Amino acid sequence: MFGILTENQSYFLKMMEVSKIIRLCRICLLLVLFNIPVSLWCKDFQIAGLNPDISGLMEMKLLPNKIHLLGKNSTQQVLVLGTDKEGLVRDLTKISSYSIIHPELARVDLKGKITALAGGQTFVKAEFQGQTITAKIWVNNENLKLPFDFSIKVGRILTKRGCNSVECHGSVGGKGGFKLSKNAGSPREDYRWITEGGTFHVLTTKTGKKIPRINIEQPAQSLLLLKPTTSVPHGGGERLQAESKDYQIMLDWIRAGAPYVKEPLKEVSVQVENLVAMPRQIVLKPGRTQQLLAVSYLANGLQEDVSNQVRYLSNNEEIVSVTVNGLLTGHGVGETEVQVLAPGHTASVTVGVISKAVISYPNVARHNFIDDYIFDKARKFHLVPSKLSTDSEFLRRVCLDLTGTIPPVSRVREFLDTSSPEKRTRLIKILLESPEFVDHWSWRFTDFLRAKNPIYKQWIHEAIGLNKPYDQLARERVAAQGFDGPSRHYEDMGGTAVPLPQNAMAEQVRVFLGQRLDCAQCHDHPYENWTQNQFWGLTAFFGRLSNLHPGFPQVDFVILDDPEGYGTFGKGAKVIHTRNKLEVQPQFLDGNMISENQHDDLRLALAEWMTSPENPYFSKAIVNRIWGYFFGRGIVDPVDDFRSNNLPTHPQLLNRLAQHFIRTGYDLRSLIGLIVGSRTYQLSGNANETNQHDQRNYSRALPRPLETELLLKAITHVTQVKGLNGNFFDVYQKPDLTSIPERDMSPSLNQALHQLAGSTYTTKLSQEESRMGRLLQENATDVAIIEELYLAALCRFPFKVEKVQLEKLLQAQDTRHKAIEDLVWGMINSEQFLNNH
Amino acid sequence: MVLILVGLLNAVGSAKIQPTDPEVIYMFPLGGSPGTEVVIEVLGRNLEDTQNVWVDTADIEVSVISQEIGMARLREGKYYTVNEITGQKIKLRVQIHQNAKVGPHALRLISSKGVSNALIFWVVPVKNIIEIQKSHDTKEKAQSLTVPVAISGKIDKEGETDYYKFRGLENQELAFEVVEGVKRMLGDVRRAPGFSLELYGPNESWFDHRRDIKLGATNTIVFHKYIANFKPRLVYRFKKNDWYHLRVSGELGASYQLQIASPSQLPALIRRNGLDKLARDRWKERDFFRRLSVDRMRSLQRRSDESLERASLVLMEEQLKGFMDLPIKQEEDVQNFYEKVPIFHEKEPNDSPKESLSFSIPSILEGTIDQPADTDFFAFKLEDGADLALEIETPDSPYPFFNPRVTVIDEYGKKVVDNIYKRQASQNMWFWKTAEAKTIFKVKNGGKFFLKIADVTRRKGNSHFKYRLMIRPQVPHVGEVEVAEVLNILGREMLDWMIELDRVNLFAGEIKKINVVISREEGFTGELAVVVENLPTGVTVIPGADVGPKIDLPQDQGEKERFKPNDQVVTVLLAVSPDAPPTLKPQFIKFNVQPVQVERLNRYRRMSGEAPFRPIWERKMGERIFVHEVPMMVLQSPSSDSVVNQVSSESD
Repeated sequence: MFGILTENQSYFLKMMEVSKIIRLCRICLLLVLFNIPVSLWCKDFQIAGLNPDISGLMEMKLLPNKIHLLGKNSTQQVLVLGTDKEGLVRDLTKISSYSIIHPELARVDLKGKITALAGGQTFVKAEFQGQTITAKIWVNNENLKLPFDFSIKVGRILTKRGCNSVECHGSVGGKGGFKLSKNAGSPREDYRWITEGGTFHVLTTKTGKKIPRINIEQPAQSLLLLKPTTSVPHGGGERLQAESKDYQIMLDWIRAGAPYVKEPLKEVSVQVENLVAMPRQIVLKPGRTQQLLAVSYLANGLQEDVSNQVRYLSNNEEIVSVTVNGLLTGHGVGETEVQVLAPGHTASVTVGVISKAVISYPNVARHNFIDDYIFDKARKFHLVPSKLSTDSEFLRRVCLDLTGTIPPVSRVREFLDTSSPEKRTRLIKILLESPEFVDHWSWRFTDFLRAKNPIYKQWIHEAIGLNKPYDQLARERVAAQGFDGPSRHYEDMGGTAVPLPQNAMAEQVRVFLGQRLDCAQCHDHPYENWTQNQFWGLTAFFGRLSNLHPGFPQVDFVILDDPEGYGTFGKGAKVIHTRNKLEVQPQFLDGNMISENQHDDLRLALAEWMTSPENPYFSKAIVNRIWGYFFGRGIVDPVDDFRSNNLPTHPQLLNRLAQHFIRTGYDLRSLIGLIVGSRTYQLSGNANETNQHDQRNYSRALPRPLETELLLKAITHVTQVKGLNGNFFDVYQKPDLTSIPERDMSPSLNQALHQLAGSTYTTKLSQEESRMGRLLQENATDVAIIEELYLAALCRFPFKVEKVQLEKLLQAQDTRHKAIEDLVWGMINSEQFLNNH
Repeated sequence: MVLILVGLLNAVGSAKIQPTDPEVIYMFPLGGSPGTEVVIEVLGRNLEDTQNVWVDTADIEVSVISQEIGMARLREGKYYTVNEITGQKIKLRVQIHQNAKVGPHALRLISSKGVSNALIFWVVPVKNIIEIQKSHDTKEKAQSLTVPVAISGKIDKEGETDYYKFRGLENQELAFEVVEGVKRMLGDVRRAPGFSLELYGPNESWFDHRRDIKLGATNTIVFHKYIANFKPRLVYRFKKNDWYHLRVSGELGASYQLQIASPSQLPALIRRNGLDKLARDRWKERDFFRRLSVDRMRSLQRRSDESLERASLVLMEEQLKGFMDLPIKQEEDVQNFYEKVPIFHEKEPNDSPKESLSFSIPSILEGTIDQPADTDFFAFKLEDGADLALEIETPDSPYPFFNPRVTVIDEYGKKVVDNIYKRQASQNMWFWKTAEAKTIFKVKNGGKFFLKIADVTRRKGNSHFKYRLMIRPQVPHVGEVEVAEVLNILGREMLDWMIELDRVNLFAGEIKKINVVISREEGFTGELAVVVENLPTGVTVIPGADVGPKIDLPQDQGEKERFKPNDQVVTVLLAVSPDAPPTLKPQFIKFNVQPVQVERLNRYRRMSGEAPFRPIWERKMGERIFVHEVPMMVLQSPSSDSVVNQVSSESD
């Protein structure tokens, strides 16, 4: 209903709701005073018409569905969700009625907030429109109270108020001489900065003048309090009110001598193990709202409702906005994430805003598990997948994707003529086993592994030809030594030197783990929780990287790990931390040190860790990259930028693909076969009413521009003229394989000019030995020529209207040759040709 | 340095100065089989009035059929662009006798401007044919071959490729190699032509049934002087009977010979060293392929002045008796190990010092790093103050594939020395590290030691990673000797970019400066003479004095004394008198170094201080050590009449 209201109308209704809420408060007061049962009240409330238009409720859900409370007085807000007749999930929390089975153990208020009263087990029941749902509650018998811990108590205040965000004191160098770790990721350092002060330098740990942010003698005069309350000028404005509870917590802490921890009343682990935001996936119509919950799960199995102590951030305010208390409001159609930030932890929820719900959702056939994940989410987001692609669409797409080649006209005719239901599966098998597949994927891997040296390229070609397990390929490259293909990766400076250890490491991690650590070289990563220590710990694996250099004029160098070092720049084998100038010991990204027997071969140890099935990044990074080749974007996109604030669109699918990849022995060909065999891949590019705006849920095939080399190959295929390409590769920016990302696909004015006058689009078309020349020599009819060109360029027959129009066009030209040339020019410049779709 | 040099050369090239030395740029075909006759075409410059050809064997006879103006293509000058050079085209008839030795042979043309550079003429043990005239630049037009065969082809057009096809048999193993025909001299900065060879086999491509796929693990052959041993051959075992294709591509103006035969017919090692065979009796001091034979100590002794020194000392002892009390080497120092050095073969397991095989000094140790991470240990004992040399030979697998790291460790596991030489180079721009074929070292305190051998990477190892180590007492001797011309660019001599002397063509009255670079090995301090023999009439050798190289920046040369000899440059001038008669045929002048030995005490002078006297000795020449030979011609001055006559083939 709200979805069709104008903004003014919506505002008006909201105001009405506010007045109703005031009325509600008054009613509640009466209820409490006169001890009227809540359920009874609720009934009245619905009758009173406060309930939004929720009829035909189909399903109810209560979150969290298991509630473990710390002890007496601990609280937990619940959410009640219901699926309406449109299939949309609605927030019923404020309009449901609640009760506790054992009121002596806990109580629940009108808004669904549970407060523990005594130890034991019970249930909370929520009721709406006659439907009920329950969740179990465990209340700890012991009267546990979380002890004061700076990292949590102060950390939460600083995080919720954005003080330690990257825009403020959480930036690399801090702000205004005061530095905090991003989202309180390093509480010990924050504690030192607050209690002692400091100065941040990128290249040294030396500190200048230290200004503590607290004043133990005069706690209220602490900068930590004066600044955010703007009692003294503060660039970040007012962040804390003097009368607030958080202000009081910090003031009390300073008065108590600002300890890092206070002795607990009773020992309890306060380690937060996980932060969960719920609901995880939300679909809204514009104007609708949904409250979020944030729950910290502690190491002792208990939980804490931190919904009011976290920071909520929408990744796209135009799609969904979020209040400081976690209330979402849908705006524009689209999908985005809302991040939930707590000290040292980040969670997120995915929010989709749709214009119209699909009430009678069609049953979509599925080919394999990929479709389950894709179509399940599409269902939730009310996106109806496009129809299955036509045979023509599929043929061109799969041939280009698997082999980089448009099939010859005879094969197109043959495929289109075949009526076997198995023909797509058979074609995929043929293509996967074709030499063109090996060539094409060797080219792809040459691209992303940035192989320039011919023997490096040859190694890749052999690996793809043999379908070498990807983990083995990665190990061989990371740990490469000697004079062979993969060791050429470590050629630097024109092959005369080896790269610096930090550069070599960062590149390998980016390529194989999809992580961009580079920023952490000079300082802790500003947007991620990678520290400078982690960066250098990983770099230490490359400290021995060296080469045997026979001297000019020879250039065939041998790569080795020399325990004595003496690498390119004479640094020896030691890797020195840029800030503290201490030697760094090899340490994996997860913090583990290498075992004694791994010291002999450091890079091999790293390669084994990187490619281990337990490594959380390795398999995901490659399946995501491969996925990206087929859909134009990764499940995480960009494909080599896995970050906590760059989340996968389909996390479960990504996990499942990674698991599948591991289970199949890192079999690239099998993974590729699985992807192209899915219905998701085989969907048509034609949008329907529901998915026309979809750019990230794969509910239709999105057009993908042909890469430079493929475009030229395709033009050559159509014209059947080799060479005469002029400066095509320069104009279309063929990668020089020196940097990552390896490819820049942005169009340029040069390209437009080349399309008009470049030899690829002119001379190549006018050659006598071209396809067109042959057709003319054979005196082919206009219809035959049009048909062959369509089949050659687009793998389809021309539509009737196209045929008629083009025949007229050809006849209207002065010379037949020129006319056909123009036709080909038009075809190879058409969107249909320039894209894989 | 290289960049500067190239820049300067480009500058020189742009001045359009043309060389006058006879130079062969192109030859086709490149060889033939024993008992056949071949007509070859040679293109080059300064080949006017070529009437004769010198051959390194009497089993090959060459005669000139015709000569005319011709164009040759050569990559030179700025950006190594292909330049068309107007010169001569010479047709030669080559008769290969039945007993001609298989392998490369040197041919040199003799023109009115002198003797040319060497051509490599390959005598092959298989049928030798020439590519067809008809275009065969696609698979469909491929020239059909019957293997084994050698076929000479040429690249006449930019981007030209030649296709050949042959029938491969199931399980048949063939070696494929492309060879070139012009010898490139060390230091010749012109770019040598490159070839690539690709082997294709049948495949059922859904896209193109005519399409073949590339076969073989490594099938690119690159003749580029900057890339050594870049897997110059392809060996492939065929899986089924079928037609297979070869695709040869190369640079414009190049000619090649494609050789196809079983690997045993084209043994790799012989071929790799083939071109070196053109240089006779060349001493190799630091080359992983030199043979460390059981009589190496004797060979070293022949190049040593030790016996001379000892003889001198005996003489001195006699003659100075009563004047001084010098320590004299005892006769027992002369050891009998020179005759035959014992050989020890490794016995696995020997992966730790405990399992090591013991040997004595001197010895030759043989073994194989037959799998990745294999490490072999040997044990030996040394006396205090032992001076040792460690030499390594890798007979089966060259750099960069097998790179042995040989480490001497003491009984406590501490490294004494290894063969990895680390230093800065090129004006401190680079840090270089090399695995050296020879290391010398001294042990202060004797005791038990171990020799540890592994590949530097610890990742590689196979049956071809064979090593032969010789550990022996040091023998001061004359090492490699290089006879070279020096590039003189804008008045500055580039002593580190010398070109090996290949030929000398001088007019009467001219002189040529030649540098003889002598390596003094293992502390060799003897006096040496440079002797040039077999000079043409009217040619004399005059001692020269050079300023030596200019060193711009001091460099950290690491422990150079362990790994490098002391080089000494001797400058000599070949002077042709104004009235010297022209030579009718190339005369091979021979360069020798000759130790100078003390003969007699002539007189002495008493000195003040601790040294009581200073003797003055007269000397005599020791045994000559041959180092190099090059053809030389004294040319008739341009005004004189031609005197070039028939020159008979010469055999060495």
